[in-house]
Amino acid sequence: MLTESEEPERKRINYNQSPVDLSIPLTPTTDCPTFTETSHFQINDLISYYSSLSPKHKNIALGELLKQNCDCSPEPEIHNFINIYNLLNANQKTTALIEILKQSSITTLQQISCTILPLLKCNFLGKLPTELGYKILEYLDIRSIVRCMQVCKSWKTLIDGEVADQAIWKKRILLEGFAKENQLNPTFISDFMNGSQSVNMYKEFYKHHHLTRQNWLLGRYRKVSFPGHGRHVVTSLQFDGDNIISGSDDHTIQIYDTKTGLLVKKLEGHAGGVWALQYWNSTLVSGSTDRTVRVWDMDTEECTHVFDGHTSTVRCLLIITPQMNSEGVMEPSEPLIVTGSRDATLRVWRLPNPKEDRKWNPLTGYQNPYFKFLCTGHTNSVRAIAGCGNVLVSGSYDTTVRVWNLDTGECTFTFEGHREKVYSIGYCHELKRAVSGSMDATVRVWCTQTGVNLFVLEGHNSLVGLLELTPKYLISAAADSTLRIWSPTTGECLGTLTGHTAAITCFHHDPIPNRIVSGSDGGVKIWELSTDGYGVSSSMHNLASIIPKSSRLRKSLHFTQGPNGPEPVHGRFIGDVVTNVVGVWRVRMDAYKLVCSVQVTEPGLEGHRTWFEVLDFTEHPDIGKEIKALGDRTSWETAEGTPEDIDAVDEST
Amino acid sequence: MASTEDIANSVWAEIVPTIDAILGTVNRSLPPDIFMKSYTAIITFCTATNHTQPTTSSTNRGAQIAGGELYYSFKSHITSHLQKMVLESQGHNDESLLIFYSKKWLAFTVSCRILNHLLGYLNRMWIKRVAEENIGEVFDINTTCLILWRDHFFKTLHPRLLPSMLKMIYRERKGETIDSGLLQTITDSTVTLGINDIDSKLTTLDLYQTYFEKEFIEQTEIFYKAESEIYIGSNPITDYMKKAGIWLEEEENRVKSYLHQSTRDGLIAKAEIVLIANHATIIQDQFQPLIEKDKIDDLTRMFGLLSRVPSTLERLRDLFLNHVKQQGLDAVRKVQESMAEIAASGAATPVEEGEKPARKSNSPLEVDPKTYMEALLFVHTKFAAITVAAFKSEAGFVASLDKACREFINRNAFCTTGSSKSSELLAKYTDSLLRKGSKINEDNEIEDLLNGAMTIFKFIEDKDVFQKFYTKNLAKRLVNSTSASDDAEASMISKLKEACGYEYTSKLQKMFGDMSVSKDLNSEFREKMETSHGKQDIDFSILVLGSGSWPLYAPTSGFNIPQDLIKPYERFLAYYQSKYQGRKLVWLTHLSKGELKTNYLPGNKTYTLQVSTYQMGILLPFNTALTYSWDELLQTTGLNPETLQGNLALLVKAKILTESDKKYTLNDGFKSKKLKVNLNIAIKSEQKQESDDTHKTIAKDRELVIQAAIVRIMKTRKTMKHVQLVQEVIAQVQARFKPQIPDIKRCIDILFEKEYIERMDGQKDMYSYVA
Amino acid sequence: MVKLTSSDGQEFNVAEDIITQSQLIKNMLSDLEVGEAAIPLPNVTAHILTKIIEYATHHKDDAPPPPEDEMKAKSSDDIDEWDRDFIAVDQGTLFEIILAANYMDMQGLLDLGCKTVANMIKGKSVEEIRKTFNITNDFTPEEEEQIRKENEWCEDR
Repeated sequence: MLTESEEPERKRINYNQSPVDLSIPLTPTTDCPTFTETSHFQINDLISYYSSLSPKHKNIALGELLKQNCDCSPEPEIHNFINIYNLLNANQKTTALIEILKQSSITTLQQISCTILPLLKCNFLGKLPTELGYKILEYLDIRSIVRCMQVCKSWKTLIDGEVADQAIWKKRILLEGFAKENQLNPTFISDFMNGSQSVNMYKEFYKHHHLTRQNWLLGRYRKVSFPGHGRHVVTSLQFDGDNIISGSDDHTIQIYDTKTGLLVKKLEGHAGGVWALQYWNSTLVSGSTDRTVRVWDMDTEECTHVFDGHTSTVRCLLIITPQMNSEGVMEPSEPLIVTGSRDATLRVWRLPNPKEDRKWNPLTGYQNPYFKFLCTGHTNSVRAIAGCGNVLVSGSYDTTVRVWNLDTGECTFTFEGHREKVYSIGYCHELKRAVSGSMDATVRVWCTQTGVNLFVLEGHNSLVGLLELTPKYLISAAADSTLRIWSPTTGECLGTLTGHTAAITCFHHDPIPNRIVSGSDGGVKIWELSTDGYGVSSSMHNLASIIPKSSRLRKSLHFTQGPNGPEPVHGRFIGDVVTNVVGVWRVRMDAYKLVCSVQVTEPGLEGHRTWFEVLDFTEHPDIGKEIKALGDRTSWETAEGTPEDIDAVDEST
Repeated sequence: MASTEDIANSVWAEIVPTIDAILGTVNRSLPPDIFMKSYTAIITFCTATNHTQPTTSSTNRGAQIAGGELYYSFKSHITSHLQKMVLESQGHNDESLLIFYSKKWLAFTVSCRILNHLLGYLNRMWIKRVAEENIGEVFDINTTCLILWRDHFFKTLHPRLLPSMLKMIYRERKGETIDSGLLQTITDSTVTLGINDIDSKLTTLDLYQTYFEKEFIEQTEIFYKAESEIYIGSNPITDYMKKAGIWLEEEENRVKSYLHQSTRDGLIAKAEIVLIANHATIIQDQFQPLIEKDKIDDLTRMFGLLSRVPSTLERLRDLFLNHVKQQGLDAVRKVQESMAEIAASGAATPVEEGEKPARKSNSPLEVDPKTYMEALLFVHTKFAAITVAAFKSEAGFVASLDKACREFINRNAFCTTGSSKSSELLAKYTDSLLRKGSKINEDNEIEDLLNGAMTIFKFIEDKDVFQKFYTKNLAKRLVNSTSASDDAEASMISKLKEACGYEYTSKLQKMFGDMSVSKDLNSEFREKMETSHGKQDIDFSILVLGSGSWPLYAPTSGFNIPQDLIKPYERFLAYYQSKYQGRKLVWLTHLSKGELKTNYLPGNKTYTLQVSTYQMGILLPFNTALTYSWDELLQTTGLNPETLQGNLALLVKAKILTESDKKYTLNDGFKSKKLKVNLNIAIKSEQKQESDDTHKTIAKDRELVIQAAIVRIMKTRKTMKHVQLVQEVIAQVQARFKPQIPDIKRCIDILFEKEYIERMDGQKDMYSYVA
Repeated sequence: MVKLTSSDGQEFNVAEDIITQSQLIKNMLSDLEVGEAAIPLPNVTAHILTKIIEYATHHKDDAPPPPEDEMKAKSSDDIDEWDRDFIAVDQGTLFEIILAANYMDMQGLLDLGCKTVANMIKGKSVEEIRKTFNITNDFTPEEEEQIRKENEWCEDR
């Protein structure tokens, strides 16, 4: 086989017009000139000696030759043979061996190959330079890496050392979106692992998130649920690690402790239902049917600013914070509030800093210093807005979509095409594209630079009430009880999420954890965004080590066969998490938690009540526990609370 | 097994010569095998796994990447190399130091590139890994070299380097030619060395700025302070302006040839302060003399220079404004004087100009509109040209020009009775342009003249006065069909519309409308009559004019339609009433006219008498008798005494009639050179009074306009302070005229009475709207 | 033509546009006046250098590989057929090729080598991996058990 492997090489080299002739090894080379005359004799001598041996001896002799140890040999002739062999220089040995093999019988060769092959094997990770070892590991799925650690000491050293923690684990964390580069530093990690120091911090951090991700895929969580807003509708919901902020048509905004589910603050002041709210740092902005926009300091619970001007309900609201544009200019130049109203106008305000800026309400004076622009043009309610930088997009019941320049307040484009009211709007600054969903059951994709209507996405068969747009995905949710995943760049429908039995009332998607959560009558469902969405290559191995065996996803297709190779699958159903509720008002999620406000029937109380459910998927010993918390009963506890249902001991199932 | 250090040291020892060779060579003469030998040594050291087994100490357990030892030895080696070079530099000073530095720099950068490749494996492995974690401490080989150069070579030499550079630049500014390439290399190096220690991929200008630019600009200031003082001390400002221009030009080039372009703004700004701002007053003082002598070039230069420091332009603009204003007023005064002379000499004037007010009046202030307007225009045109040529139409100067013109056009020797005079004169002027006999036939010529008129119009404050007079004159032109050209009329109106909007000219356009309607009406009527009554013996035509749009008043005198005219008169009435029910026709007999043929003269010599209808009424009776007494005529014509008197006087003067004690007899001895005799001459007394009541109506109109404005404002604002209100009103009506504060006050009071607005009790001069 | 000498003293003449896929050679040619002088490659045997030239020849018209993006998901499933055949050699040779590619700084070939090794590891059990590379387990049973426990989290559940 060695000779075979040489033949083609000679050809290739000639083809290379390179003067190399492989017969050269037979001629003496610079490193041992003295052998010049003798060498040929010695080779032939060796060969003839070999042929003189008995078959049995031939075998042993060869074996010994290959093992390259001569002293252990019992037989004198073999001993002698080896000695002669050892007189040869490297190249000659090669030639001699080849000659000898040519003369050997098949059986001999077979036995020999058994001896040779293990010798040719190679402990790559052990012998290659460390950096190359890392390079190889980069191509492996996480499970294979972890298995490599268990192969032998040298491999373990390579993989769980301090440097490895950087080279392998930190990189994985970033790739799989478990943390952002700017936040990922030792202090952050050790804080996260509540102070536990270890050389494999990053490995531990990765492990934690890997398991948390699996909990999502398996529907394993700790649950805290609590009542709020009595029987009222929750119109808006936003949360972080500490607080859940909810706006309701009961005129109030309530702030709950995310961990304990206790009502911590109640913001009162609006004279009508709160229909839109958003907070940034500790500044909260809300819009109401009372036609005002209010700015609150979440720390002091004080309403520091009241903006009037809209002549009808403030229907949608957006805080737009400055961000660097391509020329390195901040856009917008200062944080802004944009409000859209049933009065068919939009208003743009400077976002006050409740702690420093002068307070304001309509009685304070004649001209509101925070007011920037009035955007007129729509001829009917402004239903939805989206924006970033200096671009604002608004969708209206007048069936048009308008694009506004937040620097000048001018309308840069008016998109016409929808045949019915526009209900939802999405905008992506990276793509410079806007999307709009309408009563006419279509979704339209527009270019906010050229004003072109790029695609009309058809597929839903009734009102498209909810939209979210990120650079890779456009998600639409409709009254036809389905959600759809589209490519905003090609307009292709990547997937349809079927399973809900009524209109979709709310959803939230995030490409980094690669998830969609959606709410409809009956409960909340979790979906996988894409089999290609885990940040690592979507090879079988990678998916196998990310998706647990017991997950429903294992049984479904990972890929579909496309014209050019396998293509990822989008929108696979992961599971139901909140069930037997009447309806779901709002649902939001982050990497660890899912928070939703739902409508439930409570035993002993007729009619529906509003409850909040907080599902924490973080890997934790208590996983599986469920706790009923007080929520806002703190306020009416005395009134009608009964001991057992206000008592916050766990009723884990 | 040898310790990592030992191996590292031996490897290092092996490659040092190669490194030195590279540092020593500028030409790339290093033999490849030497290079490869070292490269291989390094890579073998870094990739060998056997001596990088984990040590037990917990701090660095786990696999390690080799290379650190080499990196640090390399660093210290380069450092000492640079320190040697510092010593070497001792011998050099000034230019030779600069040469030394730039030579070394160029060589070093090449070496860096090669070293970067020689130790490339460190870059790819150890450095790449360690840099991630130790930001600001470890850089790739090339950057490391540059940083070392910066800290150990550049910064040590800097105290001697910078002065030498500045000295060289000083010499260049003094006019010597220098090796600018040298300076460029050095400034470039400071830019290249501006490595951001956090992210080595970014370079900042900090080094360049702190180690060169700052000092350089200070020197610039000092230099030009001195130079400019000296120059101004011994040369006229006009020359200095040239010189300053050249200096600035030189600095611009300096930036191009050996500075970083970012220096430009700071440098030029500084130069501008020293060369321009600091001498602004002296320069500005030259403005007056220059503009008086029309020194366009110098003015252009001055503007070019000062506009670099915008603040200095303010004063120029004021000077310009005053100058233009003065020129304007002087021009007007000249006209006034010439007028005075003419009036004094009372020069006899040809008959057909008889109706020009200038002649008629005996007040010396009456002025020929043409001369007046041409004078105004001349001034404007001249300085408009200068604004373009010298001041590049800079907004501020355009404003000054306009302001100046508005001043001398609205407030000058003639505008004794107030700014409206110019408006009136302009209207008269345009009339003279558009009336027959203006002796202008070239279309484009009239066009130019009208444009000229519009230029003045732009500045006139009482646009409503102009409107009034213009309308009046237009009416005259149309009724007496004395308009020279429809095109000209049309173009003038479109100009006005352009300037003041539709509403301003709507009336005028209606008037034209009426004219053409009347034309059709006549022909239609004539046909009707011919079909129904056969050929007409009297050629009869009428103009039906909307009373709303025409500034015409019903006759002051009564009048009996002469028998011969009754028939067509009544037929037309009938015809018109049938055509438009319920429209009231008022016959403007005092404006109508006709022609009579004479058949009573001996040798039946026939003249055609062009007469007003009144005169017709007086003459026609003479078909039946040769003599009538005053009373008889008074009775038959139905005219009031003074009108009758005026017309009789005219006829007698023209010798159509002869008078002997209140009896009027047809003169059968009438003779005339012309066959057509025009007796229809406006009666003087009418005119002066006309223009007066025009002014009255204007005052009335203005009051209404102001009141309307007040109501409009209050309606929207509900409540308002007095001052605000007044300002708003002015803002709103300005386009038509400049309201007087007292007038506004009066109007406010009127509205109190009319109870449109009321004082808000408690709040001082605060008004509120009464719905 | 560029002259190269392998560790075992053979001379190779290679067209410049081929061999400059080696960043190392490329830099040398730009930095030094190589001229007729042969560039010695003391870490590469003729056998391996031949393979390397074969690879470089096949890929000489490829677009230069994009600079490595640290934050990009790496996949080893994208080896084309020619490369697969080319790299189908015994582990010893593969090992040498990887080292040589690393030595001569040839991104494409280095990746190919590493991907190939990765594919040998993927999806195998610990024991299978040991067999594949003929590695002797040098853990004590206790150690092994402990390590297994530590790493259970990554096994399927």
